[in-house]
Amino acid sequence: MLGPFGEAPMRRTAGTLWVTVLLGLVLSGCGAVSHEAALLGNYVPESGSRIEVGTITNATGQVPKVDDEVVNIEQLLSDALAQKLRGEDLLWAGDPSRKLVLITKIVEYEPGDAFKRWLLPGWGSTVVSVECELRAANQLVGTVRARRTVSFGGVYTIGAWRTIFASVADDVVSELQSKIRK
Amino acid sequence: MLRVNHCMVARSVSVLAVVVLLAGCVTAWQDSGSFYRSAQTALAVESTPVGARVFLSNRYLGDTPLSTALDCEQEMRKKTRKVSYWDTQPGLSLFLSLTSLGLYVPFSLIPVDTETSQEPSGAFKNNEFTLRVEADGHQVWSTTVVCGPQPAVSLRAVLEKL
Repeated sequence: MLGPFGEAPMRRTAGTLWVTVLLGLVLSGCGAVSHEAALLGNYVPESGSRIEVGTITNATGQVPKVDDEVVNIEQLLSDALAQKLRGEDLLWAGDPSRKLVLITKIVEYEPGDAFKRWLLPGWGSTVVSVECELRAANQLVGTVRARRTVSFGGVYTIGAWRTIFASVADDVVSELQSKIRK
Repeated sequence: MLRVNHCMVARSVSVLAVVVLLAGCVTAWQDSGSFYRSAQTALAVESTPVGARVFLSNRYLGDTPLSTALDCEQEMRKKTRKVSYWDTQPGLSLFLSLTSLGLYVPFSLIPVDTETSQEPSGAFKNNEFTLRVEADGHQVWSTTVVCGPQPAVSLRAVLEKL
């Protein structure tokens, strides 16, 4: 039965939309994102400042494992940060007067499980949380905090234990970019 | 028309009740270790006479009046608890409940997601500094400065003549 404004096609369209959104969520995966940055005192980074990826430490108190193999999360984050900084032309390349050092602590990390996430959203979440300090001439001048989770999804969230570092690095670098004038 | 409105209200109330009920599905907080975060205390030093030399842990800082920042490390305690997906992603939970025609609701009762909290334990490390103020013809003035609990410390050193 077709209503005065074509209800049947509208319902079909709405149904298709729901299925598309649901499929999109299941395939792409999703979770929570939070990040913030603050410069301390009246510090204003010098124009053209660049950032060196400093020490990265695992402060989770655990040795993370995926498939019984130890994951070097410090290296994963270091590589991801360097790649993102390079991509934004923020990676320090040698001028000592314009160097800021980013010292990072990984305070939370859960590799998660894509199968569990597929079974029940929230179960088997992949989580990473980092606390970064920005230092100029060894003086603390700013902080960045970021947390990412992948808590829902299916096939495409396999490997989130690794890719989540690129996502959190993206968050950290976007916060830094907003604070540093080019 | 009135019946449709009643149905909608009843449905909304049911969904709200389910959400409120499910939001209560949590486990107790559990300690999950600690880490140290940098903390800063602003230090301002003045002296009589003006222009005295200031040393912090035997490192020359400058002449009075001066201000600087002291860095130390503050212990943060981490706590985690298991919560239902309604607590961490209420919008998505509602969406899943609707799209699964309610099938998801009983499963969403299970507290499987993790909620994390951080709070300062009140402990600090590397937070004591010896401050020394010197001026020619005057006795050395020194004190211990503690960084951390307070955001700013102001000191006035009155140096006695030799």
